Amino acid sequence: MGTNRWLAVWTYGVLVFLLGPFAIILYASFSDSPMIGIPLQDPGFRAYADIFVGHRYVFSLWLSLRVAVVATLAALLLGTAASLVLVRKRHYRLIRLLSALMLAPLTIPLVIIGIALLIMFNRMAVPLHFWTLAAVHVVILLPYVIRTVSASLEHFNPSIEEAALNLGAGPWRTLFEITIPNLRPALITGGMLAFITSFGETVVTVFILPPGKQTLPVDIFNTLVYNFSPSIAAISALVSVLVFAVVWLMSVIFPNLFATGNSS
Amino acid sequence: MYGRGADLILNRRRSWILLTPAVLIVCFVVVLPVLYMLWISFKPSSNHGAYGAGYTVMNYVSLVTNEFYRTVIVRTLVVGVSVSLICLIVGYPVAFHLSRLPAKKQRLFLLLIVAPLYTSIVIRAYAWMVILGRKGIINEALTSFLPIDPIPFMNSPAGVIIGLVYVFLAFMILSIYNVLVSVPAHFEEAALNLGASKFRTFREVTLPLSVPGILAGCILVFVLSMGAFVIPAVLGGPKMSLVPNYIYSSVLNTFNWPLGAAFAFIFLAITGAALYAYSWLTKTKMVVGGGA
Repeated sequence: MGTNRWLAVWTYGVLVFLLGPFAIILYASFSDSPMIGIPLQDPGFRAYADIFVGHRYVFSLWLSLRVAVVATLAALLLGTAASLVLVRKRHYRLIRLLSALMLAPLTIPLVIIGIALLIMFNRMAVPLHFWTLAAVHVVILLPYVIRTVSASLEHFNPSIEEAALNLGAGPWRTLFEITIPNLRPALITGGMLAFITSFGETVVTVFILPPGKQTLPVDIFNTLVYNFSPSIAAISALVSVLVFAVVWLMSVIFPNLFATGNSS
Repeated sequence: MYGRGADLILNRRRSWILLTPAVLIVCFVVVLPVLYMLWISFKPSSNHGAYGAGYTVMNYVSLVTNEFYRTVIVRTLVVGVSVSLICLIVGYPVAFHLSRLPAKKQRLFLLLIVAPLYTSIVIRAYAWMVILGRKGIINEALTSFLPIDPIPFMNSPAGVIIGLVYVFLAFMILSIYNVLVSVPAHFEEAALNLGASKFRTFREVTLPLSVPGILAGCILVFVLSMGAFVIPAVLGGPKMSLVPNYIYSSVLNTFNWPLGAAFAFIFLAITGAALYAYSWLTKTKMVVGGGA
């Protein structure tokens, strides 16, 4: 059954609905006043000047980048190690159970995890430190890494490992020279996915920030809710462009990443 | 399939060590805090200290009997149901159209639909503030052409629902699309060849076959929108606070931890039940989480 013109029009309409807000952010970022009309009453670059000259978001951006880099690397390490066992030993019931546990941060609402962490950290006097924040981010990112790496491992024929082992390579050499290089596209995609997830995470982060510090999304959230500034438009525009670039890159490396929506 | 000692993991007894760091960190960051919160939810609240001595079920009782909390829970459920229904109506035609496009175009459209999900939720909330605000784009345009007062989208149910539909529509489209692409084209061809009209083919062949996708999408969007926190805070304001916002304020502003914990558990039970239904209906799992 062919598809008709009204469906095409509807689909393009929905795409405009989904992507239009980003065009509006871009548009608003060139306004010097918080009033955004058509045409712009007060066009200018003050919002960008706030960022590049006034260094408005420099501290929160720096914290976000550090957390994202550390958490992504750690999640890649832990996630890949875990995926090897989760995929190869999945015929054990315990392993399947642990597999579900690893994906828990995707199924439990993040607000609940945030509140639970706040209460526990407070009662057990766990210091809210950079490393605490990074460790929590690792757990939020693990499902993304495990998903991508596991999907790749499913298609990986273990007999090349057997060949390496039979030819006298040790297990570590086999791991680093055979298994890991074969997983490279999954590791790159999983890493990028993890990075942008950590970089944008707000809901858990807001509960466990080190005192006096904030990540970029929390900075934006607080500015939105408590003291509005037009510079939000510029930082949002810059970050969105960056994220869209990363997502596009991922789709180039892994063309089927979104095609099935599930198993990637 | 392959012999003994075949690979790096399977036949090595100590290979489970590779799994332990990940399991431990998930236990410390998710399992332990959630269990601790469950314990606290059975403690009486106290004005000095985090909670009083002994155990009680009063937190749960007061949440169910108190008119105010019940209003918030009902409001959250109503918002969740409306958002899923709107997403279904808006998203179904898109998923249907997508599943009929050539593979290359499908990939491009899916990329465009999914890409916004990776930007921070605060950025998307801000965009809708610019669009819906009192002095936002829509109101500026309307009031300059028509002699009307600005429409108060923000701080109203409309603002929250528009924002949530925007954030979660992609999940609905993907859920239905995943089912529709796997419906073999010759099912529909058979119906058409046998003389059924296009509409009848859709109603009696395509639509029934896509029911699992519809149910999965509705449950997913329902759960995600009930857990939304940033969108109601930014677009809804205090009047339109949903359960997550109340949990937040009872823990952070009024320091009533036992009550907040009990609230969180009632909420977790509702979403857990819905997610159980979801996993029962479908084996589909999403790569994209929904922290909104």
